[in-house]
Amino acid sequence: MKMLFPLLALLVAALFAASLLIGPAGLGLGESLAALFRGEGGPVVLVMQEIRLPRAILGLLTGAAFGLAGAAMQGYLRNPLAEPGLIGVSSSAALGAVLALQTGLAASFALALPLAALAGAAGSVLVILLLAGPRGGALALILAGIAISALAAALTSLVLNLSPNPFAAMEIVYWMMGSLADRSMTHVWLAAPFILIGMGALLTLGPGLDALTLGEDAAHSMGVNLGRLRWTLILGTAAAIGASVAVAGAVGFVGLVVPHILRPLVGARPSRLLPAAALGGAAMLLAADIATRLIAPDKDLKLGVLTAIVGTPFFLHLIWRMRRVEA
Amino acid sequence: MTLLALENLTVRRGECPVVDGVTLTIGEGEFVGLIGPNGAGKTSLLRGALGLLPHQGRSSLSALPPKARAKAAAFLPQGRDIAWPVTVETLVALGRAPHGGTGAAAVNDALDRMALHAYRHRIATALSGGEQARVLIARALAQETPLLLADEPVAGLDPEAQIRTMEVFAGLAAEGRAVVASIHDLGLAARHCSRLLMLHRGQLVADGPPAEVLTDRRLAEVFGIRGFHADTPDGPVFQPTGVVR
Repeated sequence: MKMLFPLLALLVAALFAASLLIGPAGLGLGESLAALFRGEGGPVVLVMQEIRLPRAILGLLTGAAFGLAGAAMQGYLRNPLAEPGLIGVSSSAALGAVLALQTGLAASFALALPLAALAGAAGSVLVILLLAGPRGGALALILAGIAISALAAALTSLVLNLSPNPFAAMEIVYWMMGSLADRSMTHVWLAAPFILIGMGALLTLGPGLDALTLGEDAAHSMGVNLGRLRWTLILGTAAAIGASVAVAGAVGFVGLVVPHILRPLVGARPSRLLPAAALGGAAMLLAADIATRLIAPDKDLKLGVLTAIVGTPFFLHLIWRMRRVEA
Repeated sequence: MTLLALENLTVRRGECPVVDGVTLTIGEGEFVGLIGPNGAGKTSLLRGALGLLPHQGRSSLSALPPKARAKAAAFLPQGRDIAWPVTVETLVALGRAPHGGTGAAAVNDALDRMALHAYRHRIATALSGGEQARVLIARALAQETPLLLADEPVAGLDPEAQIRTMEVFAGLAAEGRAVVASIHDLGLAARHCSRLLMLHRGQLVADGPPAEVLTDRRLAEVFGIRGFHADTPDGPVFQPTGVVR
């Protein structure tokens, strides 16, 4: 499908614009777009530059990161059920954030929470390096990821369990649902470098993942350096997903569903799926974030709740279709 | 020219050596059959030579950096494992990876040799097992290396495809390239290979032309079988006929 990439890019651009134009402050089209580029600070300029722009940028970046990392992880593990959280980065980032909320660190300065989440993600990478080792294969990586995810989830539960303050517990629960509301340009500046570097690393994996279509032995014989590929995957995913979870919370299903939807449209080639899934992930997350504002403008509907509610039935439909094809 | 040199190659699984001190060289123009009963170490020898298994001793291939090795030798693993529903053409073109992905002529040539042109736009995972095996052989051919290492390339193929594949490999040897293929069918090996390597418990017990390697004594000792030999105008024929008690 030759038109796929232009169409996806167009869709992302349209959703990005829509994300800028939709919100509780009913601003006119020309007025709001002009405010984006104006220097002085009226209320309209403030709404556009300080509230909607960072939200739209973060939707674009985190969505692209989830989609791309999902496609890369599925390609490496040669399994359509893999998702970026599989190596434990998401749950460890969440644990870092939860600890920051619980200890009150999050309230001390604006970036404390995302920084703690990034520290959690970095910690999980260290444990993976230790467990999956330099010569560890795909199985060692999956098992290490499962162990880290389980431990991080258990520690998160422990924090909630022991939380003396019900309001802190509530805050933690809400944070874990994922959201892009009330993020500032400071969040963008913190997350963007990690996300962009991580995505840049993941985008280099295309040829290696193509060769892995035929298994590790065949890929090795075609000159793929599997050790380097695995490190690039782990570090790229950790940077992109760690930073995304740090600013958006745990948003599930994008990294799982988007590569699934797009795989048939790129002839199932992992190298073509990577950029397509990045665009597709950005489109899905921007659309979901817009939907949270349209469906319940005054209820603060959480992004992660919506992606899961929309993503799960869609996923079930895919499984249903796959089952019919295989039968 | 020597395309592969192994010096005292030893591969261990735990304490036990599964390839035990194998020394050999493979030169241009050879079609070498690697034979031996199950567990003799055929697959481990091929994987060790490529550096896919930790080993002692020296292999001229595993010493090379990844890109240079991929241009020196192609490998066809035993498992027919295709993860994604890509087209036959896309799959065969994967063999061009070591050459930066370029070379449509090599892909066409590989499809030609394996008689796969009609399958070009079919989805590889939707083909039968035997058809997939031919596609995977074509992928290895598209790599256009001087040496091809193939692990049981004809297992599970129908007789026509088996003979055609053996003829393709013999053709590569005739062009001055070399093929080393592990083969269970001793009849096919005797008929088509220019040289046989017989492995037994990890050791190289015989190395030479088929008629010299497939002696009654070795067949009884190594394989536990006896068989019927004949020299025909089409070449040597060997057919196992029974088990030695």
